[in-house]
Amino acid sequence: METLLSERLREGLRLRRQPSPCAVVIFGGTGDLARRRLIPDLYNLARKGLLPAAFAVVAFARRPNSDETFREQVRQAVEESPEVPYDAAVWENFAGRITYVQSDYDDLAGYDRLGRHLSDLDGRMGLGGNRLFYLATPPSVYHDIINRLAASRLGVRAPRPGDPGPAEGWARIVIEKPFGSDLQTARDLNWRVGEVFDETQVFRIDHYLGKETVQNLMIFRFGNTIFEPIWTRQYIDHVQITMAESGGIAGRGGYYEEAGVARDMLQNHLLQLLTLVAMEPPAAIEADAVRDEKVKILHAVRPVDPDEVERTVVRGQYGPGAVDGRAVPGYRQEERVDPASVTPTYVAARFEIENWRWAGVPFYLRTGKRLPKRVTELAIQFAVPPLQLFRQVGMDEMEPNVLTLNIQPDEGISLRFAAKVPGQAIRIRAVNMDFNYGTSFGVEEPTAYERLLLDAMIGDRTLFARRDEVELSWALVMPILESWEESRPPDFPNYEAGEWGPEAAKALIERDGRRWRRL
Amino acid sequence: MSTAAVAPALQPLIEAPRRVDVGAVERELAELWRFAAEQSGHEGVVLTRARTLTLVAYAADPQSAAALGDVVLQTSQRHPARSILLVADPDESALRAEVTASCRTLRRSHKQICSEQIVVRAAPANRDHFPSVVRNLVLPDMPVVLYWPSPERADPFVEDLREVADRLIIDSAAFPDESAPPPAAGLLATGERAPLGDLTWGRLALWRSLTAQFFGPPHGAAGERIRKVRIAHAATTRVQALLYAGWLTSRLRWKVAQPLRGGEGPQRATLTDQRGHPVALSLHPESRARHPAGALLSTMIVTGGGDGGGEEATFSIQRNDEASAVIAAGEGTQRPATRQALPLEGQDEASLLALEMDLLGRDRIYEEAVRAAAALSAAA
Repeated sequence: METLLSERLREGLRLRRQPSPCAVVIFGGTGDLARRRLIPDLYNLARKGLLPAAFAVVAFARRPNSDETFREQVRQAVEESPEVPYDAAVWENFAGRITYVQSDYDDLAGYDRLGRHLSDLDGRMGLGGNRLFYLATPPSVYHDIINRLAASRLGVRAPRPGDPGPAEGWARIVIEKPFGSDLQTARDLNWRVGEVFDETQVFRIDHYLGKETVQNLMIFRFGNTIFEPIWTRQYIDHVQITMAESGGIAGRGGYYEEAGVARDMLQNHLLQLLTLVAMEPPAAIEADAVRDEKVKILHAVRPVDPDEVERTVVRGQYGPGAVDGRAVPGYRQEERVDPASVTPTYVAARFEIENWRWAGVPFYLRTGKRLPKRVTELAIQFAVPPLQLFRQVGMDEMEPNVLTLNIQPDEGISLRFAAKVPGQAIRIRAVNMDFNYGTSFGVEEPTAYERLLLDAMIGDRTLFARRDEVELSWALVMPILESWEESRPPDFPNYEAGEWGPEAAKALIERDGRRWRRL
Repeated sequence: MSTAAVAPALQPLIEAPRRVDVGAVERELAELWRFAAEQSGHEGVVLTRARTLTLVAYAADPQSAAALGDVVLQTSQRHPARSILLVADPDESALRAEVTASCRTLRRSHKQICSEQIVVRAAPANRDHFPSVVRNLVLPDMPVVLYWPSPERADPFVEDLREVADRLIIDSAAFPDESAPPPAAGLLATGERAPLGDLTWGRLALWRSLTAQFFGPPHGAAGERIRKVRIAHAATTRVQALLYAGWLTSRLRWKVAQPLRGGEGPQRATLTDQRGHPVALSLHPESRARHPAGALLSTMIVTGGGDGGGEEATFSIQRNDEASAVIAAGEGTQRPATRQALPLEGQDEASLLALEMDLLGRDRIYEEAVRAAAALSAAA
């Protein structure tokens, strides 16, 4: 809670909001996500002066470790991080705030120890009883952790209006994807989380939403006059959302065999991006107003008819091939993958949104592993001009305008339009007008996790998924998963590593007289 | 040290600047870009000319022009701009211009981002021609920032040039520390057209942020009764300390009961807070090697105790001897102590200029701080 005094002093500063003192408790503290991403990003936030003076990190994990050995492990990770400048003085101060609690995730005694440790930190550091619990573990232990947080009284429901007296400090929980493995498990998890925490305390993280361009999408749409009026079925022919990865499964065979591409990418990242492209302007840029609009879109997406799955959704699995000039194994040759696996590593799907703005505009989504390059983009393809004025000069069909929002690797926005080639003859060529973040704002962007960690500490839920969003996304994906489970794919592997997915994906879009963008 | 934070080096697009008549600058720039596009096409590089504003800088002599040109060039990494460096040069008999461009390669990319630079030289007696040259060369309908570290007050030339700009950025620390009120106050009074920015304000950004943090939780209540503010600064200029004091005074709605007094040594003032309690303010010049002239060395804020009651606490910010970091510490009788170490980054002229250029409108908080600083120094 900001005081009037600090609010006055904060006026005009870059960060108007500062998190209140708190402890960030990371379950899975020795895992890759914690060591290589979360703790280096917290350190970087500290380096930038964005964390409160009273702040602690508590790593909670199964492996035996002392505070000192754990600090040394994460120091090495910080030093090795390509994104975080290492500063010895800052590290020394930050490291003093890191402590380690060793316990199994289902051992209540460990949570009691954690509780005593947090109380001790509250007393010594003035954390005010504020705790941010971050589940950076495999999803299989989420229930154990939430149940023990409840049993140990560490996870405390926020007081509701009318409840007697204020609680001592706040408790929030950050949950990494995958949030459930299907609709039922997502509902179960939501139900269990909801028994322990109020929805206002729950932060379901999708790190794509922390990326600069994703946030800029709202500024772009609702902060400019020129785009929103044409953001409709009258002017837009179709939308393509691509999340291509050149990498394979990177040793995560065990996880990926269970998840597959639809659970790993479609249910969360791709559908989140779809909602941001398609949603109506919110009443305000605040958590529930934005999420209400996203939920309306998820309600409006026409569920895939189980009988239509084969026609509107394409699955694929990569075989051996070459990416970037390097030979790579097929999916079935990867570690901890069944040699006869039918787990899909690629999906392309056609969705429709049945509302006034989007009726009749198809949304083509595709994502896959071992594609030729790593690229994520949203492409809005506009309709061709209604009158073909240039037919007499050999231009039967104009290239349509395309507005592209590049999310990675280079964040930026690009608009393709037609221009006359200089000369006596009328010749027309499509040219791109590019806006690149690195070009126009040569500043160091915060990583997606930095932004989201800070938002969670401040309590801003705008960039986190709400319970209904998660369940609606699962509901849209379930017919696809169920259909796939019922019928084995006859032709896996059906694309070579280094290709843009299976032939059937091309047919999916070409059937509509369109084609995938060449990226 | 990771290499992640190191910006890619700037490379000139052509071997040497092209000398041209002032009236032919646009044509020469167009020719330069056409040539560059052809060259880059052969090399498989994508060139992007990026221009988000026009940055105009003025150097009063050729000696300072080289350093200023370098600052402007470095700034273009963060704010790609058309830059126009105006140089008063006694060796020039007529107006003369040079054009060039510099590029940096984006990480993991074949893309080069380029900005163009124009240098215009004229004899000091002819510098009155500069405003018309600038009007001709600014990018259409884009913001114009004028960087002039220490413009002479009450000089019509300053106002003429300022007329062209949307913002004037100065460096209070570049003025001789001889006067009250501080130089920025005089420029504020005349600056209806182009609001004022100040590199010295950017130098205080970290100190302001840490001070604000002190009075958030858990020490929020302590700030209700600030008794004493002690600011130490490197000799010989006190303008940075004065601006920090002005910022505190204006943000906390203090009134100046007794302006700063004192000679070469410490200067002391008395203020009253909103409840009428006295606040003792003192500025202490110290001679220390390693620290730039006027740099803040430490601040200490003492709260509570005495007649006003409240929590007794001390909040200090201390620059370390290597001038590479600051340590902020808070200690009170009712709350646990806090301590933070933060790197003192971005204190070079180019970084500070880039920081100021982030804001293109009026900086109300800065202006209030300057006015309060002027009130504090009224009788010094």
